[in-house]
Amino acid sequence: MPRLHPGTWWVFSTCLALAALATQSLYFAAFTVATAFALMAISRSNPRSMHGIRLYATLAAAAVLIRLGFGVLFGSSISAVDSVAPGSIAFSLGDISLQVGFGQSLHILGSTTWAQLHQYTLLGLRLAAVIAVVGLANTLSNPRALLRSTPAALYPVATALSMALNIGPQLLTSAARVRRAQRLRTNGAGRTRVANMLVPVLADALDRSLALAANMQARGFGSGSALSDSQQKSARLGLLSALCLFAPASYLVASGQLPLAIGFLAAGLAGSAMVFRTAARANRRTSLNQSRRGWRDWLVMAAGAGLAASSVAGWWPA
Amino acid sequence: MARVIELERVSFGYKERADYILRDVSIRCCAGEITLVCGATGSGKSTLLNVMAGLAPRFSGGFLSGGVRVDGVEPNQRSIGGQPNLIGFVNQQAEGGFVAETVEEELAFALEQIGVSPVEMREKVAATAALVGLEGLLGRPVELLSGGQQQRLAIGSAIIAGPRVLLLDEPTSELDDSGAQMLIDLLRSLARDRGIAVVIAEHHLDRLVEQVDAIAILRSGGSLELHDPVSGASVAFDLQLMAGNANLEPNRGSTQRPPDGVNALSVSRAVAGYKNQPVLNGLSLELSRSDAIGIVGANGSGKSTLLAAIVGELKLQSGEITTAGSVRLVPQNATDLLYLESVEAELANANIRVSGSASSLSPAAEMLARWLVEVDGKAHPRDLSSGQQLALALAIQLSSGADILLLDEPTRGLDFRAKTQLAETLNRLKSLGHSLVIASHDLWFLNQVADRMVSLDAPTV
Repeated sequence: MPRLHPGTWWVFSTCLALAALATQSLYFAAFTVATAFALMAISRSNPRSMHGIRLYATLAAAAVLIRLGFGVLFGSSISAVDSVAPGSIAFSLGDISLQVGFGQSLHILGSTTWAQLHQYTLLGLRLAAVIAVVGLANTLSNPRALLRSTPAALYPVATALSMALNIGPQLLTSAARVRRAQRLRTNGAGRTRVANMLVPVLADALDRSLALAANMQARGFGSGSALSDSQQKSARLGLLSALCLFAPASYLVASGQLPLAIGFLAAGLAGSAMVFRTAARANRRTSLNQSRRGWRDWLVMAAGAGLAASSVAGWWPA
Repeated sequence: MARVIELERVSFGYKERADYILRDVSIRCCAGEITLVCGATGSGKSTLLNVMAGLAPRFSGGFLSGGVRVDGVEPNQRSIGGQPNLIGFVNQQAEGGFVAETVEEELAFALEQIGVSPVEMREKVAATAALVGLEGLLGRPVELLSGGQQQRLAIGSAIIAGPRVLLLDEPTSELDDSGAQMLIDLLRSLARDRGIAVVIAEHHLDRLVEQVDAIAILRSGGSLELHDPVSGASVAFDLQLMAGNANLEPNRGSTQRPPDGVNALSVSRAVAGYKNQPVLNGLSLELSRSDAIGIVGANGSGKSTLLAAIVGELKLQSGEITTAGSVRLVPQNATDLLYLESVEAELANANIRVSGSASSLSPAAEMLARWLVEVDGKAHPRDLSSGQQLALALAIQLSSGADILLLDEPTRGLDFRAKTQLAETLNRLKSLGHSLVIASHDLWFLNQVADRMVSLDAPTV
């Protein structure tokens, strides 16, 4: 598999997530999840990431099942779904009314229609897609590789981001080690309590992330910018403000106001691209394996953008 | 010789004007010389290196006073990043500090930061790889290297930008004797041929003292003494920081009881490891009560695999392991076993008593009592020294009764005094009828405790 620019997979993943969130089609949502996992399985860079893929798959499956379970359990109380999905009843489980003391009674179980089942699965699959694309980006491009191609002026932002991204995989390895140690302590008898694992796992993962950051700094990371201190500061501020635009965008996507969401998203992307360009121009850093974007990168990103656009445009019927 | 590192009355601590870790430290290190910094666990060796590297206090926080100059400039007053063409720094745990995925990218990282052209970069990467003996491994993922290779990669990455100074924090602690000698030869040639001032902070002094140019000893309280190699060695010996040649005879104490022949553990033709790549290839060994066996072998030769198989974590592909009595393992990272908020809570949770007359305490509790003497019971286990953490983990594992005790690299991070105390404790455990299996690189330590050794380096069948 030819090496792509580390940012390419992040762009592709973002597009795929957008496509999944925008679609009303069950099959298309399932398709995005399947695509993400297929790509992960085909092109994973080292066999160890199989462990991570399994975790993302478990999380994704859990998201779908929990969404379904909640739907069936509380569906008759959630009027929003009811109004969307009247129709033939799939199955009925005795209706239980609970007086919770707020005037209204809470209905549990009750009957579930086919349309409701469809809707719950779709919502679950959208969540699963988001989990899958985060996994995809993390598996296909090492967060550290992405960090290496960030302009030095944005060093503190990039470090924070990379540590945040790195802490996930790091938590996994730390958790495995601590769980082993605690099984050793009880010699298999009794269960390991989650609370007992929390402190050592977090402490260990943080220690290691900090050691990594210290090591990068010792080797000159962040010293390669020709920008003045105040210019660096404004570059960082610019990037953070651009990134802030993604927050309302994700809220708007989730609440179904797509055109406005796309506006915010585009503004955020354009803003961060601009800051990156300005900051990168003043970069004296070089790269051993020049990771310039080639035609393959553009092809992958175009494919992602195409999927997102088709989904937003509603080409995939429900 | 040119003075490359100059520290002038440097003090450092995390609180202003209190609890100094370094106090009034002055030291000069010259180009082409190797300086060894030694001191008991927790005496501030790593802090001293961090100050020299400019990582403390900028990265670690804390308060620094006095003058630090490296090649005439103060490291802290430069830009936010380090200066890889001035200072090379090799962290304590090399494997946790790799920033790239492959050997080639790892070596190139510092050059990328200072803007070396790709053509020149390739040349330097190839030359440095050859210098540290990693030619032919350029494309290999860093996590697939052996311990010695990882350590040499860390050094190669630190010197590639041509620094005047190379700082190393416990570079030989995880290497066996031949790996350590290779490393020292490499450092010697770097100092001689490139005029680099090399500073090594290390616990394993015996294999280093004769090969360095100066010895700096950090005393408790944070003061630093400078010595030439001969007087430095004798002071280190007096401070019980090293074994010295006089004390290399096995010394197992007077309470030694010979193994009584009652079988405690037997491993017969064990095959274990990964599916297609067994690490253990038909190993057999017998262990009786009050017997101790040392497991030696290079990194990746299966020491940890063997221990995992004995404790029952790992299923054998074939062969058999039988144990008489309970088995407990103290893993390499002893802190993983600790999870409560204070030392008191850990002790109470495991029902360990550390007060009372020495004879009424179990050997582990007695050692623990000695090591914890200055520790506040409310202290967090993470804030203890390596030796204290190991003692606590050992006592916890023994508190649930361990007829057979397995230890994985127990001397990692221990200074000489802590190692002798650990050896004493383990010998007392033996005389009480416990059987021990100890996997370690540390032959000196194994000589103190083990009745015999098994090497896993034998060619695979």
